[in-house]
Amino acid sequence: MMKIGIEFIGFPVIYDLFPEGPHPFTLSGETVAQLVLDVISRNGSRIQEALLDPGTGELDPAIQIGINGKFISRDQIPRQKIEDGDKVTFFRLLAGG
Amino acid sequence: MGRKYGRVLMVNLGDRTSRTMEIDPVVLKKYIGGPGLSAYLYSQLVKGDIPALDPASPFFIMTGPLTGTAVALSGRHGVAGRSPLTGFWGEASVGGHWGRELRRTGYDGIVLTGRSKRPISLSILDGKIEFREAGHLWGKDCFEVDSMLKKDLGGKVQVCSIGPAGEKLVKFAGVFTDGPHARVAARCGLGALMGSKNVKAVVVQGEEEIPVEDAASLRASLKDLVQSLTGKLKGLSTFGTPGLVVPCEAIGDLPVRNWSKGKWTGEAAKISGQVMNEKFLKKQFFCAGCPVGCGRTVGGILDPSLEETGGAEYETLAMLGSNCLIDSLPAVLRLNELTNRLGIDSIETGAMVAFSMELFEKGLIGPKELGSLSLNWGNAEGAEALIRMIAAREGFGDLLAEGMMVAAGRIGGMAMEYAVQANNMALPAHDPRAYASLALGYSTSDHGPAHTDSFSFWFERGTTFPEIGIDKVMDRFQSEGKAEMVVNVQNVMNLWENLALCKFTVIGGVQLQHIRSWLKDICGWDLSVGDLIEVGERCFNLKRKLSVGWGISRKNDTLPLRVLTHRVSDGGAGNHLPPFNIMLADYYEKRGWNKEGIPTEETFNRLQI
Repeated sequence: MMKIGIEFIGFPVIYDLFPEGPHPFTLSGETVAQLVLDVISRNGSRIQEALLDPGTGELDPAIQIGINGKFISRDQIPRQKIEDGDKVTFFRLLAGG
Repeated sequence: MGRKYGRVLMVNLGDRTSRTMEIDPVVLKKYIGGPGLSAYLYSQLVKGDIPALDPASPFFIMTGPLTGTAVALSGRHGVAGRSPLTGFWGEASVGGHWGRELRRTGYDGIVLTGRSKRPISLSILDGKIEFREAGHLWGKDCFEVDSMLKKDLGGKVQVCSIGPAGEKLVKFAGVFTDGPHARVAARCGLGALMGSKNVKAVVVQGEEEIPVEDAASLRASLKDLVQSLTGKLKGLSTFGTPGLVVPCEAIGDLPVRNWSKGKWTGEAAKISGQVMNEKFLKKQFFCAGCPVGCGRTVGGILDPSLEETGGAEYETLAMLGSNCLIDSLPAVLRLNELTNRLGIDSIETGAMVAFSMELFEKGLIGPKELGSLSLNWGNAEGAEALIRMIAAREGFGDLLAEGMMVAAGRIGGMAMEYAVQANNMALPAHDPRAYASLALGYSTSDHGPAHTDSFSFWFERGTTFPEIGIDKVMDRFQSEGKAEMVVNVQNVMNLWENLALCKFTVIGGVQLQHIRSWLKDICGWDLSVGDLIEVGERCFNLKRKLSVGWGISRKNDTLPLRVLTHRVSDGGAGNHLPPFNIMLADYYEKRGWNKEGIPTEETFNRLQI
């Protein structure tokens, strides 16, 4: 178990659950993949719909993950380790002009 | 109590006269403002089929009732008229600071008719209207014009102008504001319409109070909203629209190599919003009354002495970057600065460069058309030279300046296969193969293929709009339910345009109930949510009616072959192609149009058009 902070930027449909963060979170494992599972299992279907691609059931590829303010590449996401005290940001932009 | 909303300055450029027209409140409640009111006024002012660049073709600059009020993200205005690019209805909107300043002059809109014999600028300064000779401004770029007029008329004025491309009637010239920060009403070629009138600039400055009937109630309704709105839009504050480059590539939404490739992961990262933040960002740019600040401010690259200029938006990074395989951020920023100076739409321009690169690769153009100019993929210097040729209408650039469909038709051979356009207007940088709804949105848009017409893809990824029945995010590849969704969001986004309210507010949580409340506080109007949706539907259909009069029908409601038939299997959209024909038939039915795409009399009667 480790204590981290999580925040969601660009997720209007779950803003009521996760307004501007970071929010304290106790992680049961040590990877981003585990974090996604933990967040979904503790917050239900709305989070699942917001985070997972409906076609593949995997993390929506449009979502970027930042750890302590630095984005990691998509290839790294499944195995990326998280350390105690980290701030993990789920980031997604919808709008373009 | 001061004036009411609805005061429009009618300008006859032929004899240099003007008059004030107060729009009947009954009309305002039906069309609100912006392009909807412009379309209504067009229908009243113009009879018959008047070509876009005819002196009798009016040019509209309109705000909305919210512009410049305490409503967040309301600092916008729009331009409208018959599009020189498509020949059908055209409109484009823009943020910045000009719209609010126009309202401070005591006017809510301007209609330019006729044509000035000589280049002029029109100024409305502290209530005084003047036609100023502008021969010395002709040929100057948008940044220079802004600077010169501010030097002449004072630093407080706001300038909206065309660049050299608008003067040369390049069919995709835009209308620019905010000087080097370059906010642009880009699409549909309305800069050419303004240029055809010999109007280089419209300069405004005033001190009049913007009319609000119940300011206290308005403030109260905004108090709780602004914090959640800025919270929901924090991603735009952080990275601006350039933050979209990487995620759009990941899901197959980013156009790559003239829409022929899907994967460009490493290169997309090089031109991303993150890199722009790390290496080029000086500060955010905030439009009037906006707490979000999605605009980017960078230093000049074309002109390194320029301390601040507008950074490229997502659309520009995509169209002049990935679509041309240019993976150098400074190179794209330089091209962005160039298009802004020349006064030309960077979406259309990027599409034209990519189209030309493919023509060059396939041997359809070469030394005969280009001389020594090389247009290999990724050649930013070649792109710059071509852009200068387009803006100046030099050589091959003169043909490209007429638009992509026209150019492809004259080049012949397979050129039309490589022209990713509809009705002579290029597709913007979101891919209908990645979001099925975009196929409908682009093909049926009331002003050509523009992503801003509906922003329908937002509802296929990450946001909802319960008041119009979108309770859940929809599957992006499915056709089911998309016709109804696109109809509904086109109607609502039409309303947003008429209000001149930034559409990012939809992501920020603004719903129709908020609009209803604000219109009551600002104008004293008691409109229901149903009334507001109907305003959007009415305006959409009125514009369709105008375009039908100019020949639009089912044959025009289509998409380029490349996005209908060419799979980009290597990318995030996989093998998906938009199920276009199924959705279009459903769309016509939902719209109350016949099989030829013409609104029925019953539809017009129901909407009181």
